Amino acid sequence: MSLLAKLQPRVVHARGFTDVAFSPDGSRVLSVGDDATLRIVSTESVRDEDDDGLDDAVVAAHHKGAITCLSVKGSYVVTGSEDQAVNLYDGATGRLQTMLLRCTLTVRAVALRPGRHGPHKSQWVAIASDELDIRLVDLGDITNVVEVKGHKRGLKSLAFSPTGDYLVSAGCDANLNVWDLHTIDGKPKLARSLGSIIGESEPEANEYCRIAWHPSGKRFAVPGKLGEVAIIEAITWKHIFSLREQNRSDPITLLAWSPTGAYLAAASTKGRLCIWHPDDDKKTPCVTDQAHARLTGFSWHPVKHDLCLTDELGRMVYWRDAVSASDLEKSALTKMFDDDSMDIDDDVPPLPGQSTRKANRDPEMPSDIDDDDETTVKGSAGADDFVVDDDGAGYAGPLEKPGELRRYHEKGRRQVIRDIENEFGTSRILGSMAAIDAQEAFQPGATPLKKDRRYLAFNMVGVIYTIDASTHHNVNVEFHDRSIRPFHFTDYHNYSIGALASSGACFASTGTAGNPSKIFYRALDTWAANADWTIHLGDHESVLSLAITSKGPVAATSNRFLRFFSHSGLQTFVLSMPGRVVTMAAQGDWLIVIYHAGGVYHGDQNLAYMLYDCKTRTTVKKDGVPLSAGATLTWAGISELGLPATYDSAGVLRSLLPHSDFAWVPVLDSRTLRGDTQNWYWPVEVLDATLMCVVCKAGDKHPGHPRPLLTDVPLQAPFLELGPSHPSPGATLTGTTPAVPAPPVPPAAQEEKLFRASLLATHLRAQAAADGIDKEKELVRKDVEIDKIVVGLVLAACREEKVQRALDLCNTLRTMKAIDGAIKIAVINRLPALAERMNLVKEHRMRTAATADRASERVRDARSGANDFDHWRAAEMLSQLPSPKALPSPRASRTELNSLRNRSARSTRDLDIINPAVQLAETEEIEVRDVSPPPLDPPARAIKRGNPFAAVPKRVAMPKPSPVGKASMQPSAGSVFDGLREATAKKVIEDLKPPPAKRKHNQSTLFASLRGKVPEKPTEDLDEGDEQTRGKRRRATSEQDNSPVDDGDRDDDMPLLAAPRAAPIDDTMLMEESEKFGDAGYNQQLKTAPQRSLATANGGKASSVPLSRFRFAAKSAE
Amino acid sequence: MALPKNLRHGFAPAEIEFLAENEPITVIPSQRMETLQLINGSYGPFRPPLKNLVPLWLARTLKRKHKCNIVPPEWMDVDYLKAKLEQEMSQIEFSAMPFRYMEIAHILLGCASDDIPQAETARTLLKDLREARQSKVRSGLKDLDPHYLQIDNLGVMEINEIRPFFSRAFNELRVLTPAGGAMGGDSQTTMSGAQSSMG
Repeated sequence: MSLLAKLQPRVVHARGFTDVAFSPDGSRVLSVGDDATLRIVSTESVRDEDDDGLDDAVVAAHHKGAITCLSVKGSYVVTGSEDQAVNLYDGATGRLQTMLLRCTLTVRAVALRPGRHGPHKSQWVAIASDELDIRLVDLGDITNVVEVKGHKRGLKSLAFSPTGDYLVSAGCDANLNVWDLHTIDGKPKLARSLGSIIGESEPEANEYCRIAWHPSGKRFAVPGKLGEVAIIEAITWKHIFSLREQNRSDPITLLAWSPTGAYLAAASTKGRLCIWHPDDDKKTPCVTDQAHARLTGFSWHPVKHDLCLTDELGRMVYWRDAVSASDLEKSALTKMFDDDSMDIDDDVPPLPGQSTRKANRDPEMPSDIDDDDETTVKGSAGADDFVVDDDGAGYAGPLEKPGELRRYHEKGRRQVIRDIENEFGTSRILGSMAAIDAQEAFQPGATPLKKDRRYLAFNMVGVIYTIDASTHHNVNVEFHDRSIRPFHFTDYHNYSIGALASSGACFASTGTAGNPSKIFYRALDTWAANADWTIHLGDHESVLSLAITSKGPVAATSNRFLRFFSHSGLQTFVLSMPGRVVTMAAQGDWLIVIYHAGGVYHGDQNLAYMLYDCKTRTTVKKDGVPLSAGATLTWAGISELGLPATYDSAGVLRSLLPHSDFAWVPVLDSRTLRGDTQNWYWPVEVLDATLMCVVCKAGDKHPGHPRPLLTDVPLQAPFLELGPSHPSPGATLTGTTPAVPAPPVPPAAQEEKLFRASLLATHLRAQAAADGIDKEKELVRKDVEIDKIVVGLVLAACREEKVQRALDLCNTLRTMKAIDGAIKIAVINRLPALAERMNLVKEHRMRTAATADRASERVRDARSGANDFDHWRAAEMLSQLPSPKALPSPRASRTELNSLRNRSARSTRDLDIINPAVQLAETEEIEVRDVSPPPLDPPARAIKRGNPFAAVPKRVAMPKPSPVGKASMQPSAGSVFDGLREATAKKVIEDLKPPPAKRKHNQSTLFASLRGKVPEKPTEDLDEGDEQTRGKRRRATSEQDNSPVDDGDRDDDMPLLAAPRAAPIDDTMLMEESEKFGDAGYNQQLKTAPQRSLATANGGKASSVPLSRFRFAAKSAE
Repeated sequence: MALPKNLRHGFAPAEIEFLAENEPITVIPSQRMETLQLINGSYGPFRPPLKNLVPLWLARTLKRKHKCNIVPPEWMDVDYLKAKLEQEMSQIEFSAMPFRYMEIAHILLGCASDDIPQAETARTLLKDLREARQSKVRSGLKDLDPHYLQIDNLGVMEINEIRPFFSRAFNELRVLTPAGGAMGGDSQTTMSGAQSSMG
């Protein structure tokens, strides 16, 4: 049953043509008719069926002939009439203000140009009549008339784009002309003439051909031939698709987009009304209805889904909720409305800056933005500006307490707007209004059309750019590496999406009416002669985004499919995505797909990502994508290190760390970097510590031509108190001298560096483990670098006497050498308590290392072929071990061995893998202390780089508790012994390779002096250990003459012996030395050094030490 | 010394230029290359469009083979040089320029003038700058005394130019000055100290 028939019409005009429009705030309805009157009534009186409020109508009857057209913008109302006059009325009062123009023939169309400076400033009105010219009349000075010549026959209708940049005129000669009003001389220029879209007609036929611009300004709809509605894309002026009901061919006369741009209402000559939702369905309208008479005018309520219709019989119908809008959509409208009413009804005096906002956000100017936004509006890929689809605004909570909920909405939205306002200034507000809508698909590295060029891809491999030659395009592919030959080709398919990788270049065109979407791939590194391939998509599928993985190109399509192809064009896989894809990026096997997980919520895009491994065809992770408030995504990529990254329209760069809990870490906030400058960083690639980007100057947000140079901007996570921001690259010249001494780095900057470095190190380590590549050397180098930063921070903390902070930092140190450095710093800064605690950290670290090392050593020993060259430590240990009897450990079973084959898993993970019972048994025997968990838990990395002799002297630095009784002799004896041994060990090192001067610093003396000053307090953790181990120690002492291969004894003196092997220590030295000598030389050195040092040590007064192993070592040395 | 007479008083400009070729400079390689293992170190790998820091001589070699573009140092920017020239003209002191600016500029303008924006203007400005500084040096001769001499911010090439004359004149003055003794020794050390820092 027709809904329209149920509605009660009311007669407002005489029979004949009528037209209707809403006032911008939706409070009044304006209608014109053949009776030459303009009527203004309040919306309520029309809407509420029982109330016959037509008596309050304002009637203006100044025309002498039938009124043919009507245009309303702001407070202006312009009417054109058969009496050849064009009148200007005041929208509120209905008073005639002036007659704008008198034509010589009937006026057919009038259109007010959306103001560029708010609704109350000077505007233009375009007037079309049966004459051939369009006239643009300045409302401020009506003598100022610009004539636009071009049509060969009379005109049917006119429409301005929402920004007022373009005027579309439809002529009776079937020409649809687009006029660019943004020319330098102010004269409108013909941007494109589109033939064969609209039908031809006689001027006298008075056939309507209403053109409707989408509120986003991105496209417009025009009645086409044979009952279809043609949708034409702005800027490119291509016919992108058509809407047509099956089996219907009555010509469409009227068109209007709903205020959100989601729905398009169309009326045919036979009075059939269709409402389309083009994003969902292009074949069947979501609402169809048949009116009694031919409809001659309709209009959407500016903020509701209400339609007001007038027909040939002069009747008006108000149709509430013409679209059975989903709750979601309705709430989106409510929000919009609330904001407007808030601003209008606000009792509170407006804040400074608010007035401009009001003006800007008047609903009749949905895109009234300032000149500087022009480029972004023009761009077809300027993703942050466009409305596409708003079917789903996020939430559908029941309105239990409407007031509260509304306030909540207002608050959320206002906050968003305020944020954006702070960032861009008020002028950008309307650009950001578009952020209510879900953002469109885009290609990372693509730019909008500027002049006649645009980049389709811009990455570290090269660039693809296309030159628009009106009938065709020229596509150019250039590489940064000039040894690869650039190529170019002529493109007749309008490829608008491109992806470039070292393996190939892929292009895709979006589907338009009659031209299905296609994908073209050109392999680069191929031996085959004809390796290019093209594939056509179906009629209803269009490519949204492309990426090239190691396995071949991947296309995301409008059907929410991911289509995988091989390099040679085989279709290998299809995958369905849960939401519309926004963008994709790939690197190696990894593919990141970013899609809409839902509608827009409080102005925030609701994006999610899927990280996909193309090799194994598995999803690595699916989760949400964080964005700044109200921002849209503008770039996504995967760095060469395998870290996905995104960049949003607020200028925040985030990295996804797959090995740190898939955390999104903001690694650069370009807002702080930019400061007040107009620079914009257009990302190209994220490296480990820098962002490769193009610096766009002067408010531009996209790189232009010729290809700009890449700039590297250092990454900087938004830590607090970072001090003055970096001088932006390019502004460095302002410094008076190039050699300006660097200002002291604030500790926060160091902390930030540390943060990023450790994240990166974690990632690299995990990546190396996953790939099974041994990059231990590189990783150790990274660790050393990180430790340098930490030591710097320790220094800063010590200077400020922030001892707890220094200790925390010390706990995070990775190398023993660095801990020593920290201890030195503590000593030099006269912080003995701190030094003592640091020593405990070190002692603990050594012990952990020893345990871990012993466990892995057992395993390695058991695989007797442990003298793999890389396992130099194993070889070195073998040489050090007393007798072969001690080698095999029956407890390490074969399966455990297998699990430990992976070399990179040599670290603490070994401990976890090994049967816990075995481990426990061992630890019990060693010392109960070791079982207690570490205070802070840094992975015991030290075992990886054992420096066997360096650890021994370090033990002297450990402040031992001074236990009473028999055990008390042990530490003192040990320290004397150690001190001696340290000296000798040092000597050995010096013999082998004179270390740099700083290393000669005798730590033992420092500590000796320190110990003299500081009364030593046994710390708790040592104490409890002592209680339990004292007995064992005694046993160890009594058994000192036992054979070293005795099992119990071996276990007992293990900590002291193992520590030197494992703990070690001197990573920088290790690095340097291994660089110098090469690994072999260094191993040699390591093999000989401990024995020599032990021998010397034993030659001293070490004989009383209850360590049978040393004695043995001495023996073997002899 | 078996050096020819003209080289005995110091370095020849070509020699100084040779020394300057060890200065590091940023290049953008235009071809992918693996790490170059050279006697004094390894450079690379080169992966366009990432920047690499290489010694000037290597940059020059690569540039000649069209394998890289040189990123000119920021002091070779025309605006910067203009500001410097202004400063040079208005002040008595020498404006701070990099120690080897003349040699580096000479090499770069010789081999990579297409990589330097407004290379010709930069060349002219550098020439002007050099002349301004030379005239300052000459006027500074008036103040030469046997006790003490300090000139800051002179480039190595400029020092080299004036070195034979200055040291000779210095010694002569010292001999002529009646004070002699400790004073002379003083100035001698100053000069030698300056020289060692220059070299």
